[in-house]
Order: sequence, then structure tokens, then C-alpha cells
Amino acid sequence: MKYLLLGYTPAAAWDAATADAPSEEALAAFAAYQRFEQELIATGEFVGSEGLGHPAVSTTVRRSGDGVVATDGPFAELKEVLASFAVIDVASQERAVEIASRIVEVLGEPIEIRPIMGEDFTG
Amino acid sequence: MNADIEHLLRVEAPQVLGALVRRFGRFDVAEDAVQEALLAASRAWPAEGVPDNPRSWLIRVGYRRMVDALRADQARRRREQEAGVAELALQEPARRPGPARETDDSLALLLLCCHPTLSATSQVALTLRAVGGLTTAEIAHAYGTTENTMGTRISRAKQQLARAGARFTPPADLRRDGRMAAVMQALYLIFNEGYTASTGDRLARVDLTGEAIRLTRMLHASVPDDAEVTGLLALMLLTEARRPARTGGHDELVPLDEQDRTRWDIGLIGEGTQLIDGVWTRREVGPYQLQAAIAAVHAAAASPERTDWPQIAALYLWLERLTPTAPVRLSRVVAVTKAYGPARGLALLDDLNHRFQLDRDPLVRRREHAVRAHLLSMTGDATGAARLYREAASLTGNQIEQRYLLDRADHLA
Repeated sequence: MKYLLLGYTPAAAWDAATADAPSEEALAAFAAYQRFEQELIATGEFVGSEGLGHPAVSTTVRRSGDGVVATDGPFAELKEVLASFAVIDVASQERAVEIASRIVEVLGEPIEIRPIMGEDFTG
Repeated sequence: MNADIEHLLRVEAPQVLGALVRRFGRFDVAEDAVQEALLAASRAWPAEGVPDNPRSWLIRVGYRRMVDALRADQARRRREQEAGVAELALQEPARRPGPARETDDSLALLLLCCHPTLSATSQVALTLRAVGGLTTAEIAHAYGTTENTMGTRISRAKQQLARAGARFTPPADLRRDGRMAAVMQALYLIFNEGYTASTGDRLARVDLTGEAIRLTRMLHASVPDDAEVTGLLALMLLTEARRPARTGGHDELVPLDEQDRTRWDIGLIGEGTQLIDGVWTRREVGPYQLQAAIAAVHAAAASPERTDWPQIAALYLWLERLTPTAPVRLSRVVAVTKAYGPARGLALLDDLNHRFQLDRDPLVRRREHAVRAHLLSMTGDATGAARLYREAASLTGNQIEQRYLLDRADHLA
């Protein structure tokens, strides 16, 4: 079963962060995360993961009275914004929680687990 | 600032801008962000050293500046102080370490900056900033205008691009794309402005000639098979080669046939000649190749007397057919005179004046007078020649040229 793991981050903190060179802790956290990713690749549970750009650089396309229009910015202004995602393919929901917990332990930010609807759930 | 760092920043500028525009769009915002990133680097690097991967550094800082600008634009700031550090999220672009993708975005950027919706002056200004990495102040200085005026011109140009829906996608077939001609013209205009410095004193100006050559080299590297781009680069190098001999000790203009040819830059001549020879045989001749060929014939002559003038006259005739402009016609008159004598030259000039009124064209009237004055002095009409030299001098704003023309008149009187 596939799950989408959504990594969230506080919008205000993201806004306040600077582009200076990564801190030692951040680099260490990433290294730890990447080791864990290797583990998941080895078990065959890893499908893919990506980091996202700041919500400010997103574009939202909507239907409006004037037809379809593209506007700068995210669909909704949120306090916690999506920063990364991963897709895993695991045997159970419990395993998905276990994996997400490991990631939260390493990276420190909240993760939302969204089941990806498979062929057995057409409705 | 350290010259090496400055050079590095100018080379990276279009690549950094390309990386941002390709991913996030919004050329106008990205272009400002890159300028800020270059500025930040020019402040930080001399003290802290150049980072291992300068391009990644610039992309990261530029990206951050874009986020800041867009957030401000979107005008819905959130000020909640939240616990937790979002450093991790911000560093996502660097998540997979390693050098930034090696894509050459300079051509796509040149084409965007020379979009047909923009005037030639706007194309030039935007090219110097977005592709050349020059600051607005430097460009303003180079063109003898204020930073405010130049800033307005650049931001209007960017708005025009946005309104026109200009895209950052290189066209499939450059040969058939008229924008390639606009790009070459913009680069040539930059070169000429640097070479002739139509206003103000030259010493305080950014080296536009060098910048034009640098950008043309970059363009040539992107499209090495384009014969006209090769011709343009050859033309610039062969012209630049004469620069050391072009002004005398008192900053006076030294005409081609009086230049000390030992001061010509042999390296540039060799490179330019090789470039034009390499494409000439392909028979895809265009105006830049013809002008480069003419410059190469001059460069090949050890002394003015040994110049192959009949060949130059023939090349000008060919050039006149492709670009029937007044300056080209006048140059042909000069070449015909040198090749076949002043009588033939005067006859040709009379004929051209009769058909195209060069002596009444405000753009070339000055040069027409100077050429005719020269022909008259050769045929013995010193009084008529002096009068025309003085008339020509009164028509130019360039002091060096004015002094040259008045000198000529004085010698005849």
C-alpha cells in the first residue's frame, strides 16, 4: 500500500530563515535522513521523495469569470506549509507510522500520512 | 572588488538567472534577485573567500531573494512567531548535493532580452544587466545617463516582456528566428558605443567594447556553427585589434592609413582572421562576415600602400547589396578612391548623392562632407576641401573627431 508522507514546516519560520550556508545540525540531520532513505530503498519500501520550493514561488491556476487564470502564490495561506513529500510503499498503516516517526525523529518537523487510494478502493 | 571575483560573477550571472527563471518563471523578479545575489557575493567573497561551488551559492541566495520579493508582492505576510526552525525546508534546493546542472542559459536569456517587443535601446540595457551582470549604475554611466533613467528603462522593459508573454524557451530553429538578428545587433551596438564613445569623456566609462566581445564570445560558444555570429565576433576582434593605434599621444584620432601598424594587436588579428577564414568558404555570407572580411584585408596589409583596395571595394559593393545603407555607400566611395583614384571616387559619390542624397542625410552628412573634402584635396581643390572639413567639424559632438577635422582644414589653408 502506498502512502504519501507530507512534511510540514511553520510558515513564519521558513519566511524568517536565511540563505546562509547550512548549519552543522542541519547537515547532520540531512545525512541521517539520507541514511534512513537508503534503508527504505533496501527494503523496497521507498518510492520517492522531493523537497519543495517556498510557497511564495508557487503558482495557483483557477477557473474564474474571465476563464482560467494563473496567479502568484499558494492555493491557501497556511501557518504550516508543505515543504517536502515522500511516497512509500509498505505493508501496513502501522509501518507507515513507524517510518514517519523515524523521519520526524531525525528532521524534527511534523509529517502527515495520507493513504494513496489503490485499485482496491475505487470509491 | 577583486578583478577575478568580478569576472567570475559576470560569467555566472546569466547561468544563475537562467536556473531561477527556468524553474520559477517570473523573469522580472528573478532578474532583480540575481542582481542582489551578485551584490551580496561581491561583498561577502573578497573577505570570506569564494565558495566551493559559486553558482550554487548564487542560486541559493538569488532564490531566497526571489522568495522575499514574491512574499512582499503577495502582500499577505504572516508574522506569527512559531517555535521551530524551518532551516531544513529552505535548504531543500541543495538537498542533493553536487554542482548545479550544467545548462547554458545564456542564449535563451539573450533571446529573451532582445525580444522584438523591446526597442533597441531597451534590448541593449536589459542585455547588459541580465546577461552581462552589470549594475544599473554602471550601464547608466556607460551611456551617459542617470541611474534613475536607466533603472526606469530597465524595469519598463521587463514589464513589457511580461505583458507580451515573452517566454524563456529557446526557439527550435535559430536560423529562421529573426531574434538572432536582434541579438547580434544589440551586441554590435554595445561594441560600437564603446568604440566610438559618442558622448562624454571615454576614460570614466565601463569597457563596453570588452563587454560586447565577452558576450559575443559566449554567444559564439552557444552556436558555434552560426556563420554570422562567427563573423560578428571576428569583426569585433579585428576592430579591437587596432584600438592601441587608433588614438595618438594627445588623444587625437589617428585614421587607419596613418596608424602605427606595429601597435596593432597581433593576437586579436590572428584570432579574428582565423574565425572569418573558417566560415567564409561556407558561402553563407552575411553583413557581419563581409565587414569582418574587410577588416581582415586591412589587417593583412603591413602598410597602407600594400592594402588590397580593389578587393575591399568589391567587398563593400557586396555589403551594399545586402545592407544598402548610407555609411556602407560612403565606405565604398573611399575604397573605390583608394583602388582606382579620386576621379572615380568623386564620380561615384556624385552618383550616390544624386540617387540617395547622402549629403542631406543627417546621419551621414558629416561623413559625406569629410569624404568629399578628402577627395577634393586629392584633386587639388584645397579651398573647397577646407570649407567642407570645417562644415563637417561643426556637425559632430565628439571632441576628438572635431579636433581631427579642424586640423585637416588648417593644414589645407
